[in-house]
Amino acid sequence: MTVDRRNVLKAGAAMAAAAALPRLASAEVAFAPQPGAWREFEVTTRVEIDNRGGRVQAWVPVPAVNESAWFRTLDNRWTTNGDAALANDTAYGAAMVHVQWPAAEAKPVAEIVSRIAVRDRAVDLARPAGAAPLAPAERALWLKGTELIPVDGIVKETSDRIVKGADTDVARARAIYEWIVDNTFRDARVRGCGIGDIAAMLRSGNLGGKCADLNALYVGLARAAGIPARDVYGIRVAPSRFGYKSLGAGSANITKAQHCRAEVYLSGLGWVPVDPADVRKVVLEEPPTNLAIDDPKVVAVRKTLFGAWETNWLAYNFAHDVALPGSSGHRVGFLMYPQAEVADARLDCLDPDSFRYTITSKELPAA
Amino acid sequence: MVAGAGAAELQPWREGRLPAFSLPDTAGARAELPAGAPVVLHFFATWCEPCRVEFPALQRLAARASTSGPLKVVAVSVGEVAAPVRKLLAAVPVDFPVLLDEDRAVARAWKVDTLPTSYVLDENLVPRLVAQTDLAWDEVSVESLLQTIRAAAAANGGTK
Repeated sequence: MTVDRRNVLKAGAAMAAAAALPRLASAEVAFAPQPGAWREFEVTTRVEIDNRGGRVQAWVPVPAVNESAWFRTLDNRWTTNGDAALANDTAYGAAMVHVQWPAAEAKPVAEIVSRIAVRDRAVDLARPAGAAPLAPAERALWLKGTELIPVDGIVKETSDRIVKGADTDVARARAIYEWIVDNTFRDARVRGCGIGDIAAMLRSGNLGGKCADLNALYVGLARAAGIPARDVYGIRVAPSRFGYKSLGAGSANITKAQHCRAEVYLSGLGWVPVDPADVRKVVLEEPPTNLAIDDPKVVAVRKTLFGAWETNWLAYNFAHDVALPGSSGHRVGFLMYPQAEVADARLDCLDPDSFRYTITSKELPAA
Repeated sequence: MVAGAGAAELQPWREGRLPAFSLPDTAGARAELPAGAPVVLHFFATWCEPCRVEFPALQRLAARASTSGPLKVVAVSVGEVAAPVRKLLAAVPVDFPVLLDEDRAVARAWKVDTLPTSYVLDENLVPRLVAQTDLAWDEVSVESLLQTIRAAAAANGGTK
């Protein structure tokens, strides 16, 4: 028998390439973020407001997260024709650039540039890394209910039902994750719309929603089970490197790419990343769209997003019920979008065409 | 059937009176529920697709009620600022008050879990019927709606 040396070489190269890839999920679909090299991004938020009369204020979220394993806020800078200052939410430490313009300013404008460093996360749930328990005050903060995330009543009853029989926090946290993936949905046949708080979602039986609903539901159910949990509000800054169109920013313009995630604090493991909402996003949006729950692309992310994140994403903050300094208006349930007021009337933060803001992202060359 | 085929989703409300409130409209003027006539109190949001479909039909109901009344319509936008509501009203002008519940405090007090939700209140502002979904108001007869409200009020004993 003769051996074709070229084929042996090709096979060797293929094996080397396979070894360099993250572990493969079923049917050769890979979605396996692992902490690797840090990546740096520059994210620019530009706000322009038509002043039709009265004083103008804007509050632009900037990253205030510093987690040694996966996220560093490097700096936040701004230029504006108004008066700007960095402001912090006292309860959760969310940061925002608060800009004020006098009534005489017809064209208020501000540009805020944030630089961050991120890397992917993956926690080995089988090997506790000896993380210290949370300090009592911090533990209490991440267990208590908020305006949008009550942890009593129907939330507690639902949580009790889901975690029944699970005998560790890891098992309970995972049971809630699987329950969210199995029971929430986005269904055009549902005629009504949610009102954005998780108790109302559970009472109405309409469990359709996006990240701020589904991951908030995860956080509420986990807190109700006695497991500290928190939402992490942020924005996608780059495409997914695992080929998932639905899990990344499609272009440098990321104005509408906001995404919030969740974390649970598990004994010995520390903060563990989870993202059941992104599993449902893959089901709905990943081409060719409306995938079955057992589609290999769904199976791969479902397996991974309890314990890992691909961090092609900027984390702003963990804050709920945020008061905007200098505003007499209502608190915002979370601070993931720029906010503004003209003559003390809040503008619509979800309509960046009428309240003009753009957010762009670019990756910086590796240092 | 309560008051026409479109009202099939209207169910009796048996939990009695809900808290009075005062909310601003899109110009900032505060308003309360108008007493003295039955009221359709409609909770909605501009981003909610079935709500947008229902909104023009509510205006037609209000127009019919102005001749065959007495029935008033009040709409409450839930969890939104004035700007998108103004935009909706520019596209779909209505004669009834549209109020802003920006922080959702009134929606919570009125046990609104899904949008749209509509209550029908008697002339003493006691809720008598509720629909926790969208309704085909064009199929609702004002006369039979008023009859149903009067019957429910009588059966439940006045202003409980």
